[in-house]
Order: sequence, then structure tokens, then C-alpha cells
Amino acid sequence: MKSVYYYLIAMALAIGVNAQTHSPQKYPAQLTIKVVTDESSPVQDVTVGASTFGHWVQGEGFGRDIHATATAKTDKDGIAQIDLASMDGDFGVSVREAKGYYHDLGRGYRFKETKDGKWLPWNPMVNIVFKPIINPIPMFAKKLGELPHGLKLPEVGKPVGFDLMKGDWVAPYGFGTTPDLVFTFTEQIPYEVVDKPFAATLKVSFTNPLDGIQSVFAPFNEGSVLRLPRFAPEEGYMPELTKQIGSPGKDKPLNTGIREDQNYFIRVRTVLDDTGKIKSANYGKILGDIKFWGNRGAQFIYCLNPTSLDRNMEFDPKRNLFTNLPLSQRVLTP
Amino acid sequence: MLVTSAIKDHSLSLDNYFPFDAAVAIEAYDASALNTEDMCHSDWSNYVSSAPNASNPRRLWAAEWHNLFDAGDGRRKLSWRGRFGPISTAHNFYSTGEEVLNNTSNGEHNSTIGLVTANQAERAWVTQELSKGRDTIAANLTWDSNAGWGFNAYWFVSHSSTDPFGHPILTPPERRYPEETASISDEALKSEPFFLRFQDNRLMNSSQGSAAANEYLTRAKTLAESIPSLSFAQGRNPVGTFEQRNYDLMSLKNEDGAWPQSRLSNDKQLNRWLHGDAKDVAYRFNYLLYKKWVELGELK
Repeated sequence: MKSVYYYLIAMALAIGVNAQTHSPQKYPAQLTIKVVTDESSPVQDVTVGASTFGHWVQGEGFGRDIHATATAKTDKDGIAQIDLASMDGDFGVSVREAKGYYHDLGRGYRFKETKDGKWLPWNPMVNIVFKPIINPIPMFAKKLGELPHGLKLPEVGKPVGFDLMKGDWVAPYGFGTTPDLVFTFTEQIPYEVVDKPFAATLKVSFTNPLDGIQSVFAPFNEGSVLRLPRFAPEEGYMPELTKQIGSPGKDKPLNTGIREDQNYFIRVRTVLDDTGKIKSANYGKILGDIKFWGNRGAQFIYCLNPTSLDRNMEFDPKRNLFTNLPLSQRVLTP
Repeated sequence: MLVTSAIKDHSLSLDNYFPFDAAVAIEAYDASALNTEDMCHSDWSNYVSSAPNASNPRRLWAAEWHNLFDAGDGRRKLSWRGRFGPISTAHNFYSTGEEVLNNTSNGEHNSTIGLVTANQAERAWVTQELSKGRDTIAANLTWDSNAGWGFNAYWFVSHSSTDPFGHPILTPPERRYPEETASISDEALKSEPFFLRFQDNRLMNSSQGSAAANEYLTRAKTLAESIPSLSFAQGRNPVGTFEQRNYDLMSLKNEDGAWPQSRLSNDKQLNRWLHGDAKDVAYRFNYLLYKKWVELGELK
């Protein structure tokens, strides 16, 4: 049977058949793209593009996909229409780079089916939020735990503070002075090696009343490079967060609890007035999840606004308040 | 795969090992890291026992065949799960922007939709895994397709049906419905798997199977061609057992985040760190990767 296939392939090559001339059917697709800012204002006169699989060319490794692309300019309502034939109905859609806006990482759009010789739904609306650069500010921003600059939780079963403005553990574990975040690592089943059963918990808590943390989910590698809302919320902070990791037994899944779309806002150094209202506080964000392992290694990326009560989260990576950081500790995105 | 095998199977000693673009199932390092629903061929998703006392609900699958055998039988090793185990010197460089090793959902892959799309680079690794045992052009072009997600005609049966006039008829032999598989014993599956038979008949022979599976080359060939992975690829995902020794290549683009214009003009590629971009993209865009290798390996 195999030899028959090889024979057929050899025949196909011999008569010069190639992938492009024998492509499966392409069907027309149409989609409307609406571009608005994060305040819902239409963005006029920017270029939007859509690409879809065209054909495959042989090459090193697995070869290369060649895509067909179409572009259009948005009108006064931020709307542009794209027409492009597709084999598989799977499109990438983005807004091209434009001065004064954060880079758009694109997103996928998949048509549902073909019917009557075209992709359906016909002319769906794809909404894109294109975030303008408004007020990027210097912040304390640090990526922690990426090797070779590993971050080890210093104690088991004992709270240890982390100073976000110093970027280090609070003394005696580092040169920090203010315990903005308090990490408590506990072991339910002690860790020996990663492929043996273990269970551990990491509690992230705070020092001051109304300090806290709240989740914000944002698609990973998709949309604006300014991934989170540009302002931290005023309300909704929880006094602690507990995360678990472990492998409860042989062949049971290692549960890291890590989510790709997880991020957080934080509020620290909160001072209340006599009436219990917030007099001062610093807002920040944690980009990605807080990761930790049984070996007490931890990783997280944060940005902290140094100005009290300023909820602006638009970080300017070129003006990090931490200077001379090694590459593995630099935060390169806003 | 080759280097990992050299480390694990042949005692290659390395201070630091930096796999990138690695087309290896994560379960090879972490036996528990499975993406079973997503890496299951759609034809097989119902061949899972729902009986509460089922010792192995997926006992009909090629990826579970090894579990039919007792400890000590060489066939217990015909699984990707834990094939290598954790490697303490390995630092996994994966890309969440991968196309070739990209993840899938619900068994979706490229091999059923024609010659050209069968050859898409996007999700090529997933397509390869889900094509094992299948009679697709992609599978037959690249390896001896056997076992895997194919069905063994030995277990086919005829089903009663009626023709358009209401007359009873029997269908030609076809694969059993999932509810018709309960009567098949584990013992019978050892010599006649529910999936397509292995190319190497010895594996299904009660007196030869264990020894054959213990042969290094037979095991390697059987895993590569016949046993589908139930987990995603290392080169697209962090490996849990590597702990903090995982690095997303997407975060190792240059400090301004710049990327070649030819990519940014392609809305399917944009800023993705694709397979091979350690060499396909100019150094000014990807130099942080090389710096990271120097840093971790103390190569200065």
C-alpha cells in the first residue's frame, strides 16, 4: 500500500504538480472591522489588515505557510471592510502600527462554515480596541525570579514582606523596609523533588487596612500591548490571595494554578483618615500570574505607581525608576 | 529529542541544556501533564468508558495500551508518559507564538481537509500526533502509519439497519459503537488492540511482546510512529517539572519589542516568535535569546 502512495507522489512530482495549482477550494469571505479607543471613540484613518492561509511551501523543517493579506483604511466611524478568499476560514486581524497608539498584537477570527459558495457568517463585525498613548509614567517595575536571578521564598510557614519600591525582601532577608506584599509559603506535603508528591500553599497578604489585590483577566499575546486597563480600579481589592501548587500522588496532575490570562491590580501603603477614607495609597499591577513552585522559587512581574492616589497604570518602560537592572529583571512592556 | 535521549539513555553529561523549538511531548518529562481532551482524535472521543469502576476509561486507546500489562513487561514502556522524566540541567525555551508546535483544542488538526492544508506549518506537530494510525496523505508521506488513532478491523461488526423501504439490512462490517466495546476483555486487547495493529507483530505476541518492546530501536520506532501523545509540545508550553527553568521566547524579543516588518505586515504572524526564529530572524530582533543563553550558561 505504501509503495502505491510513493508511486503516486513520484508521478505527481514528475508532472510538475505543486501545491498551489491543486489547492482546495477558496471561498470568499467578508468582514467588517471596527476600531475604537479604550474610551469607545472611533479611530479614523488607520490601516487594518486581515490574513489567511494561502499555501504551504516546502522548506527546512516543517516548511512555511504563505498567507494572503488584505488591508483597508478605517472611515470616520472607525470602520473598514475586508474582502479576502480563504481555504480554511481562519483569519488573523489587526490594526497596523500608528503614531500615538500602542502596538496591536492582533487576534484571530474564525468563520463558522461555508454555504452557497462563501464563508458564513457573511460580513461579521470584529471589534478592535486600539489604545492611544496618553500618559506613560515612570514606575517601579521589576521582573522577579527569572533565572539566573532566581527569587526564593525565604521561609517556610513564616510571613516575609516584600518591598515593591526597593524591589527586595524586607530585612533581614533583603534590604527592603516596607512590607508591601507579605508572602507566606506553607507546605502540606513537604517537597523533595518535583516528580514526587508534594503540596504547598502561597498566601499573599498585606500590611494595611484596605490594601489588597484583585484579579484582572486579559487575553495573552492578543490585543493592545498595553494589556490591562490604563487605570487601576478604586474598589474591589481583597485583603489576601491564596494559591496552591502540588502533585497529590503518582500520575496525578501537577497543579500549578497558573493561568495565561491572569493579571492583578494591587493597592499598598494605604493610609486612612479619621473617617476611614483613604488618605494615601499606591496603586500597581502584576503582569501575568504570580508563580511559585515546591522548591520555593517564585516569579512575578510588577509595576508600582510612586505617586500616592494616582491610579494611572500606563508604564513607560524607558523610564523605569529602577535603573541598571539586569536584562532578566527589566519590564519591557507598558 | 535527540539530545534528551542522549542525556537520559546514554548518560550524556551537560552543565546546562537549552532545548528550544522542541518537538517533544510534555508528558515525556512530566507524566501527569496531559491535555487528553484536546489531543484526542475526534473519532475516539466517545471510546471512553463512563463506568464508575472502570480502572482505565481509555483502555482502548493506543496511548493507554501499555497499562494493560503488568510491571516488568517491556510493553509497559510503550508510552510517552515519563519517557524522560525531569531533567535538572534543562532550561526550556518555548514560544507562546509558535505555529508549528502550536496547541490545538478538541482534537482539531489539519490532516482531514486536503493536501495543501494538510501541509500547513501551523499546528504541524499536532497534526502529526493526531495522524498516527490514520490513512491520511500526511501520515503516509512521512512515516509507517500504524496503531495510533486507527481502528483494527478485527473488532468490526455488522449493524442492523433498514433500507428506505423499511426492510431490515445488515451494514458491512464497521467499527463497533462505543457501547459495544464493553465485552472486549483487557486480555483480548493485548493480542488484538482496538486500535490499528502495530506494524511489528511481535508486540502483540504473548511470548515475544515484552522482549520486543525492550529493544531500544523497537521502542523508539513504536513511540515515534504508533503511540500518539496526549499532551502538547514542549516548544510551545512551559514544562511544569522544569519549575522556573521555563522561558517564553515571546518575552525575549529586543528591548523595544521591534520585530521584522515583513512579519508585522502579515496579520497571522505579526509579532509571533515562530518556529526557527532563533535563526530566521535577524540578531537585532532576537539577540536577547543569545544573551540569555550566555547568562545562564555563564559562557562569558
